[in-house]
Amino acid sequence: MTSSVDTPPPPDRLNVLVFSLLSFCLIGFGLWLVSAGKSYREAYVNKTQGWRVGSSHSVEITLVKEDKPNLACASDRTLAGLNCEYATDGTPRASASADRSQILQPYNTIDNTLLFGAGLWTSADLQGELPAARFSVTCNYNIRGLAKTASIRFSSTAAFSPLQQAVTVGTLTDCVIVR
Amino acid sequence: MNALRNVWRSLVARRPVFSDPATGWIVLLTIFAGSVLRIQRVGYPFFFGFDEEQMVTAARQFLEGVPDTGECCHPPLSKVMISASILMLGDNPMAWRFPSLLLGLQSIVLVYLIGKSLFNDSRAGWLAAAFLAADGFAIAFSRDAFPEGMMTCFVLWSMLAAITARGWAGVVTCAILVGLAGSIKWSGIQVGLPACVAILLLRRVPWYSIFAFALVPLVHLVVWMMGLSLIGHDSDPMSVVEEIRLRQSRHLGFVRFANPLESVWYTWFYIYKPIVLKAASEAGRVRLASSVSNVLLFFTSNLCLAGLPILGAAYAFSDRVRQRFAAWFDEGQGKALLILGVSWLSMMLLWFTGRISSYWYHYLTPYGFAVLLTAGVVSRLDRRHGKVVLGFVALLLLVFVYFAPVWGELPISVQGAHRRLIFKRWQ
Repeated sequence: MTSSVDTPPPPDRLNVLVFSLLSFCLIGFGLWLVSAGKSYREAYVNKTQGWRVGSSHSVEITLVKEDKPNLACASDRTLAGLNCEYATDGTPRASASADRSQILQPYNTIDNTLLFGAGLWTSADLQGELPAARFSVTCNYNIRGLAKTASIRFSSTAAFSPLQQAVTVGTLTDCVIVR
Repeated sequence: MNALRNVWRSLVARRPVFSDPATGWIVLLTIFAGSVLRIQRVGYPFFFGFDEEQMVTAARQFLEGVPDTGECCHPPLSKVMISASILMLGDNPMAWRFPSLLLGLQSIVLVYLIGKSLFNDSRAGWLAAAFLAADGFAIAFSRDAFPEGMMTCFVLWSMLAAITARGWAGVVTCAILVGLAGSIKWSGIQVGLPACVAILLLRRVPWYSIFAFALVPLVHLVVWMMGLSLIGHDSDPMSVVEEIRLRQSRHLGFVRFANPLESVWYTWFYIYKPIVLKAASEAGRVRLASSVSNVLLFFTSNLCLAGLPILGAAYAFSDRVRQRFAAWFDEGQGKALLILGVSWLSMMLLWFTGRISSYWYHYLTPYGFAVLLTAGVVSRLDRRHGKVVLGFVALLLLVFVYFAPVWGELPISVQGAHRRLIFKRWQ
């Protein structure tokens, strides 16, 4: 018995599309390995002090004294015991009047990062006379979560406008006016 | 041990073989050096490079499920790829640039495969890979979270599928890839034209298989539906079509020449306004990612492009030219030249119209075909003038070494950077 001569010869090379797909996966895996072994992430976090839920950071917030009654947000959600003063439909929330230190307000840091914070106005340094001109305060910002679908306003007479980005939510403690 | 020996033999058998062995070694060295330059320190600097803020902000918004206001108009695929990368590697600059790097390296493999398949000569493939590896235009866009390099890769994938298609499955794959290229940037859909030309010209599949390209809008629509559903937008087909129209009109409504970086298509042929994608300073030195091309390769590719219509006209009217052409290129290679010419032209069509804002980076995809054309011509030259080709690739490597610091963000003095980026508009 001899092997059949009619058997078609095996293909001598891989289909080029399969080869290119395989190379794509290999390059991807290789790069992933290289990047996983690199210290980019750690270095980046150290550099930017990455804002993550559960972390605390020192922030410098820009304010005018009228911001206390003017700044407000509207959302039906309660996050880690913190909530906006208004419900999504713009009506005051029933639970909002109880403890002002749990009421979230939108603030901008001096490098223009929007955040939701609660408790800023209860700090000792902000209980007295506030500066007449624009001023800034430094606080410890303890991030508790992320708000995606709230609305905000920066004037008590303005309408609420929806957020265009997710915003961190947290408490602001030990706030001191920068003098 | 036997298996390893077989792998080694297989690799050696596939090494680049040129008239002069030194050419093969230089080609390999160039590909290796170009790949390393793309990968090294790609995660630095830690701040946004050219247009990265738009892309990364939108990518984050896709993850957060909020409106993708970070970037106004382009289809979602490139942003979703950056989102996936952020999920995989974390929200850091390495992750932002990972898809560009991955697809930028893949483009080197793809031009090798396209060159080899089209010209039926592995030398054309090796040269195309070395040329692309050693070009600053491609290098810089492999290191920036920007969609142009990603689209170029998908365009090359589409053409590879068209060239290697041997049945309906191949043509359907090609159509899906064209749809994906157009889902990174709309201009990617232009590759459908040369893909059809390649399929019809190569005659490896029935002509009517090009009806598979009816899938292209469907693929595009599905990508949009998936993208918009991620950000909480209505994702039924009619809402998606309405949203596409809205973004398209926004994109077409850009005021022309409001951006000083804008450049008209004919200025691309003399590298008038290349863009510095990233710039950082470090201990008195600068790190730059300039998209200036490898000047030797760039102007050679211009010559090849200009020569193509002249050769075509002479071929049509002169018997002598036809005979001489036949001595250099067989029928298949003649078709390869034609396919690459049509590919380059097709990817330029939108910019020829002058209807929308155009920038230097829009030339990246057409340039990929110009590089392939050059590789095809140089590979033919190698048969008779091996020493000339050796000199060319050696010179190309020298230009690469000279410009590498300003392409790949290697630290260099300000004076050194200015010596390389000699024109004011290059800096």
